[in-house]
Amino acid sequence: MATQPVTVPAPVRRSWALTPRSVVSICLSTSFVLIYVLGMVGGIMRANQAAVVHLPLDTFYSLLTLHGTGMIALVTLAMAAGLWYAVHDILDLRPRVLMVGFALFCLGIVLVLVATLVGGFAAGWTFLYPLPFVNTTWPAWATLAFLLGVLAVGLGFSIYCMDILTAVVGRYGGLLRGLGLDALIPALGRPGQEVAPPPVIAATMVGIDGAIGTLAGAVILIALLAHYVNPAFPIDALWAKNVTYFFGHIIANLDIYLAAGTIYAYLPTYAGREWKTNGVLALSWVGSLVFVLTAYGHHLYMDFVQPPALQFLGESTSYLASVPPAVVTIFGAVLLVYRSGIRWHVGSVLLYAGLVGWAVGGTAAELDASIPFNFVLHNTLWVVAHFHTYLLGGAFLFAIAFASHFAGEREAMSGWARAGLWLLLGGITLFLASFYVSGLEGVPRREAIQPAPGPVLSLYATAAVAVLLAGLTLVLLDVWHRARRSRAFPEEAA
Amino acid sequence: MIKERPSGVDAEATVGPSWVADAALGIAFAAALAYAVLSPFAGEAPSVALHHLAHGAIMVVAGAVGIRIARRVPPTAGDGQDAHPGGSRPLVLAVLAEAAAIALMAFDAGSWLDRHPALHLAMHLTLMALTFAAAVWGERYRRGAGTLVTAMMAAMAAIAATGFGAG
Amino acid sequence: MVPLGARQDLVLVLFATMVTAIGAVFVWVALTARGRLEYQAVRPHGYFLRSWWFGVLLALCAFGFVVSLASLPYPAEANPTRAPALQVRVKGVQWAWLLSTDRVPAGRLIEFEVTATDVNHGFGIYSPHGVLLGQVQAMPGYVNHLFFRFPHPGVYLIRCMEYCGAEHPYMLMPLTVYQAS
Repeated sequence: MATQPVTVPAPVRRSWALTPRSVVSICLSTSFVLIYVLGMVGGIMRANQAAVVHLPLDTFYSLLTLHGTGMIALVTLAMAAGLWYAVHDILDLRPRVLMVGFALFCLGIVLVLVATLVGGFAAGWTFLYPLPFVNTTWPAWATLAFLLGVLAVGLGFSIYCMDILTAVVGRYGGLLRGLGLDALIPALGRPGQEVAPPPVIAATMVGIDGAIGTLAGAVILIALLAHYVNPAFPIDALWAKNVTYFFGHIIANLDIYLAAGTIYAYLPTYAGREWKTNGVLALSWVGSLVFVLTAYGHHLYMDFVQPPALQFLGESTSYLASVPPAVVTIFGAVLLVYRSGIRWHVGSVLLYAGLVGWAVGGTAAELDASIPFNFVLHNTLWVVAHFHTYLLGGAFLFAIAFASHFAGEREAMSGWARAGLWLLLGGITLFLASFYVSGLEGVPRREAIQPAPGPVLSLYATAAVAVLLAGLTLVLLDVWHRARRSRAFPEEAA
Repeated sequence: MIKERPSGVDAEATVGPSWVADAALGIAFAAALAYAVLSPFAGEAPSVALHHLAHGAIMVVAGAVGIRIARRVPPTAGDGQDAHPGGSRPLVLAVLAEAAAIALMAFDAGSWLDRHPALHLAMHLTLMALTFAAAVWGERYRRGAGTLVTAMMAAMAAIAATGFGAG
Repeated sequence: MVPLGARQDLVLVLFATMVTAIGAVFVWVALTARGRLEYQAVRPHGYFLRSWWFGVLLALCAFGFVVSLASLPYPAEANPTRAPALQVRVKGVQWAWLLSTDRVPAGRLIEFEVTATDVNHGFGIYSPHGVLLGQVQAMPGYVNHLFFRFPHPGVYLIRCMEYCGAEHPYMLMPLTVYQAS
């Protein structure tokens, strides 16, 4: 068949295929675009508190609800995609399952957007019973849309967790080995099988706690939906509070543990050192596994009718929860960097900065988790300060770090990226400082109109948001630019 | 790096599980079924906690039966064992079955169940069927996944036992 | 700026100390990261340091836990003598505070019986200078007992601490504390 024409390999764009890279790209892009938009929403809320703009009260609280629900979900999405990419090869995870989870996730986000922006739902991301049902300023369907939206996001995360857990069971023959416990107890090991590497351990822990957390979320959401359909369906306010915070605390807290998995996977590539599993690391993750489940009690310190045993369990395990990350992950990361001749690039700078955010946010959390301090800090902006420190100054930075690494970091860091990093980190620091000072000054959280000195501090925060977003723009553009280059020249990025 | 993958049918299943375990499971299943059918018609309603824990127990039995059966059926092309393109479907079905079981709980409030024992009975059977299906699908996705989804069902019942439908 | 309360002052000192320490370690490690050492040479020293760090942190946790038990705001701890206190019934509603009295004496132990009729609220007590002195949740179906002693006479402010709907920022009420004879 000599007449057959020879096909010339033309540089055509390949059609979009369901590959690990493409699915992770779409998760990251979706997450970053929406985080950027919701960051601006946050800036608008701060500007309102600074009395620079004047939103109607119900609009402010719809935006607050959207910002809170959306950000937790989106940071989870970005970090979940990052950790998925770090372990998909070892665990033989399928892009299709991640895509199913992502689709449910998007459905949920759309429902939340419609519920808050169109319907005006404004019961906060905690949707604390009975607030979604009493004297609402929004139509009943908005409540339904919001609850179903959160349920869909939870279902998406649940599929993600189940996929990881089943893969761990398939690969290592059990969750205990997935947690690397055969490094601690050699008798658990299987002959000829290596101990699970640290990112897999993180994924296993997140899978277990995530599965339990989303179940609890489903239970409270179903109870609320039942109450929605039939107002006679009984719900106990204290029980609802317990289950809601059990769910909410686990999901918010897991963001940082998802991130830890990507630190294990990628910080060593910059430092040129190996991060291996050992008994201490495995044990620390069992500790985290337990403490993430039991520490939620600190949300209910100011409910004096809560059984004292739960208060003490909450306080002691909130303290203990700091030990595994501080002693093993953060300390280990610092040790890995120490005198390593680390290559500083966007990824490594942000991983390192994120560790600072994790440590500082954790410190603030421990102070707030002390019952006598909680007496004067609970529901003040101090709380908001601490979780912004480890979500914005920690988990989100880890997410950008992963994206930058994912996009390829062959060439030296550009001047734009360098400037962007300074602006981003400086903006975040100023932004957080305002929250911390406001909290100590007794300014309550979730106030559209704040008592003094809230408005002055909100003004600083609004300016800081502008700086932060300017830096974020530069950094994300730099990452995007590199991602496009590496797609055009994949062999160069490899 | 050569990865060691679990083969579709493992040694234990091909050799044939012991009939003692089968018999024990059969008895447990009969007991669960008897409870599912009879308890809605018993006079005194149990406490909320006991009610949910009983649901958890009958679901665990249904899940165990599902796992037992799924492990004997040889894997098909649609299963996840060898990374077939359609391999994710059983997992998604398993999670959806689980979600449906959770959604069913919306009808799980004391007074309503007392007034409609026949529907309560139907709910018991549906819960068992959904757990059975979730376990079979889970196990067809990957070995061990059926156990995980069944454990999730039990965990859901345990969480609900802390006060779902009370107040 | 509002002067900080005593507890807030302590939080500030502790937080500033710890953040400075964290910052110092991270900056020092980043600045010295250039000079490359083999990991095998670094690791034993690091692990030795880690075991000390583990001990110190565990001791801090235990110390914090024990110390915190000494000043719990819960009824059994706040009123250990079980001496009868002046009772004030408090009800939070969207969006107002209903108190059985709006005048209480300074220096006496007051028992606030706090509840809510519609949604969750938070009963926060602010000093005349705007310092948050303490709080308790107001929850439908439950009564939380807060034992509290007002240090000085003056006009205090009750502010809602739990988001309870659109008018939440305006859920305020002055409370007059008079000099007890």
